[in-house]
Amino acid sequence: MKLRWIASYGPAFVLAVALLAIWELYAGIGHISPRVLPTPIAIVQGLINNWGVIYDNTIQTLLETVLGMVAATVVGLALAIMLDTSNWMRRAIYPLLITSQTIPIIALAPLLLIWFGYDIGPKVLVVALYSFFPIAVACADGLASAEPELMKLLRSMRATRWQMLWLVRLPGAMPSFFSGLRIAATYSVTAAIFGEYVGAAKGLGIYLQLEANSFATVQVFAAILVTAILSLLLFGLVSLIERIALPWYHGAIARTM
Amino acid sequence: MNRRTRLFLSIGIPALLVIVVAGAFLWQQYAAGSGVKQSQPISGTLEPQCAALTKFDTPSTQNLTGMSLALDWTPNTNHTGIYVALAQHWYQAEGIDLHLLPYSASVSPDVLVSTGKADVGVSSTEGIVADAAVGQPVVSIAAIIQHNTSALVTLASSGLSRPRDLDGKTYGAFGAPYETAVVSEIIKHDGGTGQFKSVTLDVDAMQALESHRIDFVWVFESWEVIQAQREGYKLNVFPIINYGIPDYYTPNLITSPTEIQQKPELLRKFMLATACGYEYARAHPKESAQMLLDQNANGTFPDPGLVFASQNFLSPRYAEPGRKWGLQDASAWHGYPQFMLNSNGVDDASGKPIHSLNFDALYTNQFLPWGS
Repeated sequence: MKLRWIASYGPAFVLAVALLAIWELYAGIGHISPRVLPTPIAIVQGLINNWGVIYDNTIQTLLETVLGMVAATVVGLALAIMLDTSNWMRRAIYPLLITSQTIPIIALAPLLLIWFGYDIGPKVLVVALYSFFPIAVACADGLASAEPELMKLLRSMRATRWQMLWLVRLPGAMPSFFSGLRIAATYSVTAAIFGEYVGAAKGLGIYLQLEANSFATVQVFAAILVTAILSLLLFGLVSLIERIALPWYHGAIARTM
Repeated sequence: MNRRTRLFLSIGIPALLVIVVAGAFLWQQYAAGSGVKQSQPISGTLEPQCAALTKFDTPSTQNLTGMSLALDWTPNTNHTGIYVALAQHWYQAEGIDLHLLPYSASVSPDVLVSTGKADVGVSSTEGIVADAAVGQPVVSIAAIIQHNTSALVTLASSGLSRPRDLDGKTYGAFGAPYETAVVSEIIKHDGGTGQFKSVTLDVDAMQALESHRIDFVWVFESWEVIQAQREGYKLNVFPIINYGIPDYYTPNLITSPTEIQQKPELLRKFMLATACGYEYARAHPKESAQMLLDQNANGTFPDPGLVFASQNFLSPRYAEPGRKWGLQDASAWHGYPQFMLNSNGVDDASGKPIHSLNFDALYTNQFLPWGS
């Protein structure tokens, strides 16, 4: 089963290696200035040579990301449950929730800096602002789509509202919740970097800016590589927790495939 | 796995991740805190006004007045004097605990200074004039570089060897309202028509130039041009003040009128330490560039050679020989700002171009240790 699982990623692996090889050949043979497009090998070398500095900045960004994600998960879950408590709540909150996502955060960024300063707080806030929405919406949809038969059964057994939520609706909503969480995890590292771009002393966003202003394109790409790896790892971690938390769900998927 | 183990793991794994990351972060803070940088003994003679600063040896952290300075860009050789004064603890000698606010792409130092979030900042003549026009006044308290060192550049291989060749070519703009007027004036001054195409870039203009996406850009000789030389690119350089553009100061140190009213003494102390830092940098390019490198986190300057080369270029240009650093003349504050207004490049808060301003209110020399 494990081998099969690894083999299922074979095509993605082959495609990635092929793309990298084409890139390496194109940038290496084409005599393109490394400032315009460095080769993948040069990027990995740049990453290894500057690992100490990049690590320092990565920890800062990672801390902002995980704190932001925790906040987003708590807020997203709470919002989803609130939306689910009554039709009235849903009608009141849902439009506001969607409107909140139409505000370009880039326009708010200067204000965030003036209100909250240069510390880690505003970056955590930016990550949470970006991430809570997919979690809240996916989880709310999951809660709303509980099987009517099960609900009828519980009602006939005189279950309370909270019992229904805890026993049927919340477990039923978990697959949707994890879908939302995966989307949020993908965006969260980039959101933290965006928050740093607004103004910070440290972090991958600041490192990107410093290297770009010193014309060190190789290091810019190295930082992009770290960002991509972090995002993938977070995505993987969410998937792992999902497998642990919902074994029945994954069992069912494997059987239907 | 039973239900309880699953729940425990689902919450435990993220919690563990947070703890590990926070632990690594705190460990890093702790490790960074234990390695405090000592000031190197200073060599050479100093201005008489600066000598008093060096008599002070044990830096105390008590009874210091907090002060913040907003940077206009990532640290570079325009800021060297500030880092020299930091490295030598001259701000502490004057009773100031100076915090540098890092460069932000979305909030200018002018905004931070005028809203009181920063006491002082680094800005430019263009920024100060535009601020005054929209009623967000800031005041220039020192010229960091006496003469303008910006230039239009083309690739030597392009064959565009003088400004009039730029007619009809593509310019990589950075999006300021006055830049078309400046570029056009330079081309006309050299006998061209001043007609050119313009694309606004939010990327490194030099990259666009090297990849032949554009034909010419407006950059600083002290940074981009030196970098290109180090990489072996041949450039044609047309310094703007050689082609009919009035000379002006850039960058400048700024503060707000409120600050001037409420804390003149603090500003005077700040300027003493800063001016001495720049005077030292004028006389000691190598040592001062080293201080700029040492005072910044590892990785700030991937190429230290660029910093030394840039400092060698700038040190003699902070001010002309025999002139003290920082002084500003009325002529510079009337020439280029008026040129900006005449080109309709400056709008008031309602978006209408303005044609007159009280330029004398935009600068003061009163906080410099050498007086006005």
